[in-house]
Amino acid sequence: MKGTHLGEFQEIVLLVILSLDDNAYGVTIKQEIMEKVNRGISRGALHTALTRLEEKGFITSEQGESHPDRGGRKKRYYTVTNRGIAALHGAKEIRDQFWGKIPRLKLHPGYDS
Amino acid sequence: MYPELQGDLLEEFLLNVEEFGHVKARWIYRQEVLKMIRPSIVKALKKTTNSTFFGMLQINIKLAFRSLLKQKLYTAINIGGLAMSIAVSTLILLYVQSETTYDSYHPNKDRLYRLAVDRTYPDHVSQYARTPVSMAEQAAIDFPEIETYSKIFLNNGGVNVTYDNETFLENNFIAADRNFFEVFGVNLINGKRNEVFSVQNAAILSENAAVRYFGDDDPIGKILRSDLGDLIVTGVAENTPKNTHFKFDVMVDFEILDLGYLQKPNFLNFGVFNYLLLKEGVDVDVVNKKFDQLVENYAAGEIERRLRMSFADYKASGNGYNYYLQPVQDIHLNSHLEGEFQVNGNLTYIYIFSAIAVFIIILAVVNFINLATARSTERAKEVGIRKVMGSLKKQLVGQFLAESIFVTVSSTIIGLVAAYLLLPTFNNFADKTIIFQDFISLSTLVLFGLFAVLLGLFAGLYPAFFLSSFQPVAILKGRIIRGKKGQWIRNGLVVFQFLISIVLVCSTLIVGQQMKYMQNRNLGFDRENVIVLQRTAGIKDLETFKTEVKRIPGVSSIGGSSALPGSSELFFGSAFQVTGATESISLNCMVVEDEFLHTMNMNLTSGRFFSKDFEDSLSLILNESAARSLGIMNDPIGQLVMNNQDSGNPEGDKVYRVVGVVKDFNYKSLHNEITPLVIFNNERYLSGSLANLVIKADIRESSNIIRSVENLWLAQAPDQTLIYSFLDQNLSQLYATEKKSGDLFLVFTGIAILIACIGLFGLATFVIGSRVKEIAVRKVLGASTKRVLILLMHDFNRLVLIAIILSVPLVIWFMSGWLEGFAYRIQIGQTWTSFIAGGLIALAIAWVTVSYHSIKAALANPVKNLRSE
Repeated sequence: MKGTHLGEFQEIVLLVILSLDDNAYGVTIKQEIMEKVNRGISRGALHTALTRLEEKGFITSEQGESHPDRGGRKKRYYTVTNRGIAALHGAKEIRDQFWGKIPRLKLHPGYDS
Repeated sequence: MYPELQGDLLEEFLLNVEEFGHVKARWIYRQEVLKMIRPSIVKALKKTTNSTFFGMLQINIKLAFRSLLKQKLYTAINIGGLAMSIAVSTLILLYVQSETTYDSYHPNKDRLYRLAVDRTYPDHVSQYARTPVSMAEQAAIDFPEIETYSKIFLNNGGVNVTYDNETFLENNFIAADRNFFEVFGVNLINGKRNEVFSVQNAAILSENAAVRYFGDDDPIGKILRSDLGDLIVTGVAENTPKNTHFKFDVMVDFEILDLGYLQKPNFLNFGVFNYLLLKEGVDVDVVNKKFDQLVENYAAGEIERRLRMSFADYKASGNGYNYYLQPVQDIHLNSHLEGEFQVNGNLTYIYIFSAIAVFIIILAVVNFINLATARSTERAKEVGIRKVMGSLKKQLVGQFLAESIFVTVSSTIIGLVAAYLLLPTFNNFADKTIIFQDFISLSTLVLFGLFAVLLGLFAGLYPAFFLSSFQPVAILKGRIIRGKKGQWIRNGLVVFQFLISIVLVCSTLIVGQQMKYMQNRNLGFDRENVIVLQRTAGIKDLETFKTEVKRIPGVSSIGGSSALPGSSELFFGSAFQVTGATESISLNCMVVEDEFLHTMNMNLTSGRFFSKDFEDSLSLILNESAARSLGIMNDPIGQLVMNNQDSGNPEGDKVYRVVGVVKDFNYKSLHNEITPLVIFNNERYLSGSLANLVIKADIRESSNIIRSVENLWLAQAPDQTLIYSFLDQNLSQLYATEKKSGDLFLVFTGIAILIACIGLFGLATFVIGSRVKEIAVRKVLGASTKRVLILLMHDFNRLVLIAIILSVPLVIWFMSGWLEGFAYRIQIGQTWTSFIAGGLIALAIAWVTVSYHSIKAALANPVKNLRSE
């Protein structure tokens, strides 16, 4: 297996798709990322991430309706699979584990630079 | 490109326009697109195009199959015609391959040569395949360029060999030098190379012969009885391959033969086949130039001793020997000398057959093109609809090409299978033993596959572009395609097809004329009603045998001779000198009994035949050419002629008196001029050499006569095989190559015509199909059916007439070359009947082919064809 490892960007994409529920297609995913994560991404990068996720079996896709705004082309809607959700949970657990180990009051005095 | 991506891009673009304005939105769009160029996307893109290509191919093949099935007649004609021509061409290819690979089995084939000679006489030149016994041997001593040599003697007429009371006449009985196996590519299966000739009367058998005599027993050491005495089998060699210029079943040591003057070391008597193996890197021309010196050194003295004149004078009087070497691999196709082992093939025919093979393929391709364009009227609508539905020209071309490749590939497969099935018949017909499996290998199959695809591309190209260039609007409006543009191409193709067919028809007819001429030509003797018995030397009491045969009902006379017309190797050469003349010339000779000339019904121009009433042992009869050569044409009878004998001959020179002159008769094949001939009656000459009896008999009684002769023969010569034949058949055997080629020619002509007819049929469909309305209008306006028919036929007549006119010079050029191979031939002017017949045949065939469509069109009810307007 090429790896079920979930990259950071891929994790975000998964979360975005989940949050968009059944309105997750190319344009909305990109907009959501740009707005909520405040990160400029190219369509190509997004597409690559989506292909990878689909290869890994974390998401599935299906063709949706076409629209005159899109020059009559169909949308492709993405949904997160159970496996994708499990992977997200896995990633979260790992992080939570580490967060749990950090002493709560260990704050570093100093200045934010 | 993924439609979703495009959709996303566009949607976003519109959003951006709202937000940032047109200019920036566009800029973003471009950037986005550029950023898409990343490996993962581009790669995926490639994969998708591939799959559509294969998808299209699949669809194209499916469509091709469907459209071919829809038009069963056309498909059958197309595939059938092409398959037939491929089958025929494959057979020709096999034939050519077998003919051109003769003698390639010798290990040193590139350095192995046979010695041949152009012997110049004062009045003619003879070319002999057999050369004097000592030539090769001496050349091997004198010339440093020669590695080794070998000589072969072929016993014409065969030798009887008996084992265990079973006698076989071995026709392929040869005597060879002891280094035979070093020079030629024949391998021993049984016995050792350096031991097989260790005994004097050793015999080496071919595998076939060994099985024939001994079955499964070990042949080594067995003793065979033969005309030459007892032979001990010392070895068995593999059978000589089928494509070899000489073959043998029994081989003996050259030394045990008793050939008399032929075997004694000499440089003058053309008796054996001499082979020279040159050293590597030697230029054959260098060796060829040296033979003159060899003749000067050795033959000259012999001539001077024999003729008592200086060699310089001899040469000055027009005599000469031009020895040269023939590459052993060229013998089969290029050597047509006197006294060959067997009738050789002919390079010209190889060229002709190859050309025919190519032409037949071209004819079939032309058909394909013609039929495909002819169907354009029917397919025009299909093309129109396809274009309206959005087909690109490229795609249509692809579809038509797929169709044509489908046709050629399936034709090739069918053609190959047909060739395989026809091969036994063809072998039988062409007297060959070609094995299909030898020819089929992976590489030939790949070549055939490639050929099929290329043929399909080539044949489909014109129709594909022609059909796909239709304007959909025009077609769908119902306008019929006139195709004036392509008219000259289609007509030209049909003219070309008929041109080839007519050339073939005329050539076949002319070949037939020449064959008939040779069969009917007055040869100067009777060839019908003559039975020939060969190898009669084994009969103990010849006189009794002859009287007994004469008593058989139906037999009118019988006479013996040393040689027979048609078997030129049985004539021998000897030198003659008219008394008082200083020159001596060599002439062909034969020895006959008193009754021979009478039995053969030869014509005297002056004097008399030999007769019992005269003592004729010192008499001669000349043919007219001999009388001319000796310079005594004006007053030949009673002239004294001296026969110069070999100095070794104890009897010395003898003087003969000319008692008669016989009209020139063709004792050689009609390829050669009649050369001077001297006929002896000398009993001494007869002893041993009188090997043939000719019986003049009523041919209707032949089966009875032969049965009676067989009984007489058994009583007289029980261990000799009776060989009888009919003279006319023996003579036609001389033209076996021509006959065979003529027959093949006939078959090819038939096929070419058939294919041309298919083409014409296609053209008729097209032309008449596009004139249906015109015909209907003419009929409505009062034209009669007959009138319409004549009008329609007119076009086709014109094409055929053009083809006829073009074919005449071609045939004349081509056939005069062929006829030049015969010394006695019809004049090309006499062949005008063939041209007329050929032209009429072509016209008739064209009419028959076209009439189906023409009559159908002319009879059609005009209402039907005009209703749709």
